Amino acid sequence: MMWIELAHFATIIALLMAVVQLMAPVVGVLALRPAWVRVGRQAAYVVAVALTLAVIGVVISFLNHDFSVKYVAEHSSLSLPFFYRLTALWGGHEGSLLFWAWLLGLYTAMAVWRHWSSHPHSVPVVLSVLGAVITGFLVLILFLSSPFERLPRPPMDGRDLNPMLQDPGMVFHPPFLYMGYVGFAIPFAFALAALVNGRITDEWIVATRRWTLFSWAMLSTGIVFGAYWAYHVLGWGGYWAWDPVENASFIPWLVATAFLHSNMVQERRHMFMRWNLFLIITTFSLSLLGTFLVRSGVLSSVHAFASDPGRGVYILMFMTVVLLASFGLLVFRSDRLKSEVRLESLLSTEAAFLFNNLFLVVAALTVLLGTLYPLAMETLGSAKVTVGAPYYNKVFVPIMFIVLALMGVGPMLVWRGMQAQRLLRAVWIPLAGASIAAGLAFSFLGVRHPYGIVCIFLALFVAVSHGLDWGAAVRKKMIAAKQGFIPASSNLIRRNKRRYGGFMVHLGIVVMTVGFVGSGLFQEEKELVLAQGDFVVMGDWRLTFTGIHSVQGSNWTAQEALITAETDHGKKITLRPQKRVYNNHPMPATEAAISSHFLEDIYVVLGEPVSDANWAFRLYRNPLVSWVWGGAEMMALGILWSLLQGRSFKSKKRVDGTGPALQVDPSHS
Amino acid sequence: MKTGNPWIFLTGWLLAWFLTTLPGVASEKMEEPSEAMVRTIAKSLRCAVCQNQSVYESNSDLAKDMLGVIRSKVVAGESEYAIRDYFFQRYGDYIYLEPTTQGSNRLLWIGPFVALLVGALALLAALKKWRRPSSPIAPVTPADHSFKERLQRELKQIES
Amino acid sequence: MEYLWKIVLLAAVLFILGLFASGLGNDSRNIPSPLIGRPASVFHAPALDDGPEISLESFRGRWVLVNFWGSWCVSCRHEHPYLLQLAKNTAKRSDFVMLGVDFKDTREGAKGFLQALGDPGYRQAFDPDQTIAIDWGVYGAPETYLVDPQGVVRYKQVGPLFNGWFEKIALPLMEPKHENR
Repeated sequence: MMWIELAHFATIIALLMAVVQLMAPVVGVLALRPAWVRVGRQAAYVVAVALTLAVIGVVISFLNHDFSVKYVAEHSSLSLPFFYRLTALWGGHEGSLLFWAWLLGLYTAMAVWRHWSSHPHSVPVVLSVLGAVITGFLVLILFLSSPFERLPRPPMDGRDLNPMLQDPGMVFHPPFLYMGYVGFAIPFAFALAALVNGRITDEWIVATRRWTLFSWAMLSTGIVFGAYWAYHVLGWGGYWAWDPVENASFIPWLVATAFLHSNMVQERRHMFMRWNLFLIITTFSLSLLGTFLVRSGVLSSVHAFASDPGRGVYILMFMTVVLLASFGLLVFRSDRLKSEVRLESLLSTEAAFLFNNLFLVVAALTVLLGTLYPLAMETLGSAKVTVGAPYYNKVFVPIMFIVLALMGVGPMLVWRGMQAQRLLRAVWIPLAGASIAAGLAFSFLGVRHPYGIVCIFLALFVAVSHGLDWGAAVRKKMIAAKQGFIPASSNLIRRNKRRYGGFMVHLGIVVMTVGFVGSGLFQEEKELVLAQGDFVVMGDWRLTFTGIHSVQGSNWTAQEALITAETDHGKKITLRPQKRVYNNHPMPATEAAISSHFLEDIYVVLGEPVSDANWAFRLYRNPLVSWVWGGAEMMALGILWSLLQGRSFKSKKRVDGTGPALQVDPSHS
Repeated sequence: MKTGNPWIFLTGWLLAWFLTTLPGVASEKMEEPSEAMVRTIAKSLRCAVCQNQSVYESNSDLAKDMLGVIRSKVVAGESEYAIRDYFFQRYGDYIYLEPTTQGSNRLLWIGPFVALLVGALALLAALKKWRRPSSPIAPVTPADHSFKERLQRELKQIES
Repeated sequence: MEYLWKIVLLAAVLFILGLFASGLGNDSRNIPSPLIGRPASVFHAPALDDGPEISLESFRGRWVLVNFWGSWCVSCRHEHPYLLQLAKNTAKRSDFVMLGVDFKDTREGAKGFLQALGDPGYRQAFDPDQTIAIDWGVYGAPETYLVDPQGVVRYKQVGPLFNGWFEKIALPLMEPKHENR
């Protein structure tokens, strides 16, 4: 039963060691005593181990139903299923912060271990920077929001986890999101190291490429899990509401996406170093801001379930230190990192990336503006405004169209530059294909909304341009190596994991875009009162209300309706939407019944009883929602694939041997 | 069902036909035609007690009653504009999920595009500055020569 | 040009931090009412106590304090003692009358509430499906409006009335000359 004390003690040790990790390398560098830097390294390892123990202690307290621990009593109960007890650690504010700090501790240890000998100049600064961030979090955890607090009179049973969080989506959403948020701390620390050292090298970009890719993948997956959770739990038939908390994770994603592209320019052409530093510092700052927005109560939203101004003041102070220090370094130290910029041509990959960056950064600014505008109005103009989904649909979406268009042009471009005629020759087939598709969609699928037409056009444009490029590369390989189609293409994909991993990500985005069009513009919904035996027609489906009965879960009871869904081609499913009442929560929760298919989802929400036999229902037919999830999986796979590639371009080129180093080869970007 | 026996098939089919056309036993429910307009309006209004959810999507009591008010007004034949304005008069800017285009809200609507324009112009200007079409290998300039010579000279001095 | 981006960047960072600093103290649920200075919506509503129907117009010529509450609302419980006291203190005023609107409630619940905490004695309208509340731009409880003799809304208090509210906020509005002296 002493697990929580162990966890508490481990966290205190971690804080002390984090301070050592912060200070020792500074001493080491200033006094030219490498031993002190090694002390910092050992401290980082101790922090990681201690925080692991702390997390284990809290998790075991959950598993043991130790309700004398306040955090456990507030976020668990005797009847809470095992799976949710295991993951209740991040079900509340205090535990989430501990989880965050733990991840940062682990990442720090891994980064130091990996880069210790390869990046000796960066490591001391990296240690200090990450030590400072961990210290900031641990002070918050230990002094302002402790998950280790005991209750003087432990209750018999806990208050149970918020029913909204008792969903698989919520189990995976926070860890992935945090793995992304926290992951950006590593490239951020390397960037600060570059600024502090003032070394004109691209060391930090090369060192952090994988960290960046990994974090980006985690953040993307986390965001999609959040959307999936919203789709399953909130019961309004949609998955993205442009809620401030959703935006808080989306803004760093946009900036990180810009960074992901522009750091390739630095890697290949040694340009835009300051711009890259700006992007990664902004990404991490926005990740912190994401935590801040959720945890401070400055912007309330559907799931700002923990708000506390006292903590807010501390987080704000912490943010101020981090932001001023990092942006200050950027402003005052970056002049010595100025890289000579030289563009041979506007028709080059690097120029296209510049525009990609412009649009992504403006897109991020738009979401930031929309998110902060109500706060600004309230503070400066004392008026209350709401900035909801329609705003983002009208302003943000068109900006993203241009990003999509650039994505389609991407594979046709080469580094350094190309002739305009060559581009024109490459571009017309995808353009024609996309136009035909858009025309077909207009005339046969009945797509009338301009966004629908534009999206289908762009999706096809991107898909065809990527496909053509890939096809051409395979053909070349087949001829050069005298191989069949399959060995040639598998060779190609294995040889250039970064390029084709990137292609996969792009195609994933295309698939998601199609999903957005389908679910956003073609949703069919009905709100009806049904008596038993009544049926409703939704698209090809005939939904019959066949009965209603009570069911019982481990910590809830529910009214469950039975809806039989049938199509003309003999598909038959039973949907079971529920209205749940959790034992410890008075508010009923709706459990939508969702039947997912390749082309559409049938989504049924049980409403209130109107009389004994009549119940209100909301029924949705959501076309192509599964494409959104499928596209996200493709994205994750693509990133994993490109993570597998080793880091050096030059050596790879030699091995690959498909061309002399200076020749511009479209299959290698 | 046994195959091959046409009579069973026929009776089954007739029974099914009879059952589906019989009033009160099973009937297709159609949505009230007014519901579409109710939905459009309710989706454009923010539920005042929840954060950033529309009246239509929220489960809160207030949202449900607001939906009721909207429904009765639609049934009473009020126009979409009038109903939206009714809520605007009572709750202010806050109630519209889509901010109005008046006053300082213009910043919200125009800001991103201004940023895009300024960014694009700055980028184009910078590109013009940076653009130096040349052969892949930069020619060695006289300055480089003199620098190299000086370096060599100084290195020799240090060595000697 | 070289310095411009630095200034802009630092200014933007400071602006956002400042925004959060000032935003921390805000109650993000407090919505200013656009109804102030406009005629109050008139209503005819059933009374909570099965008495005759209540109509706002019948109070024309007097200042009316309209208090929206419900037995489900915790803050209303905290506010109730002040309402009792205010009703007692202002009972003799001929220019001021109080009115309650019990919304989103059951008759039994509301009556139980008044029985347990004391009945301030003024009239209570009953608004179970909160049509009046929505008509008045109410989004929570308790909310209190001060309506002048001409039927114009002059003040809206979101959240409970506090001790001394009447003297501090209502009286200056009701007797502006008083205030000047």
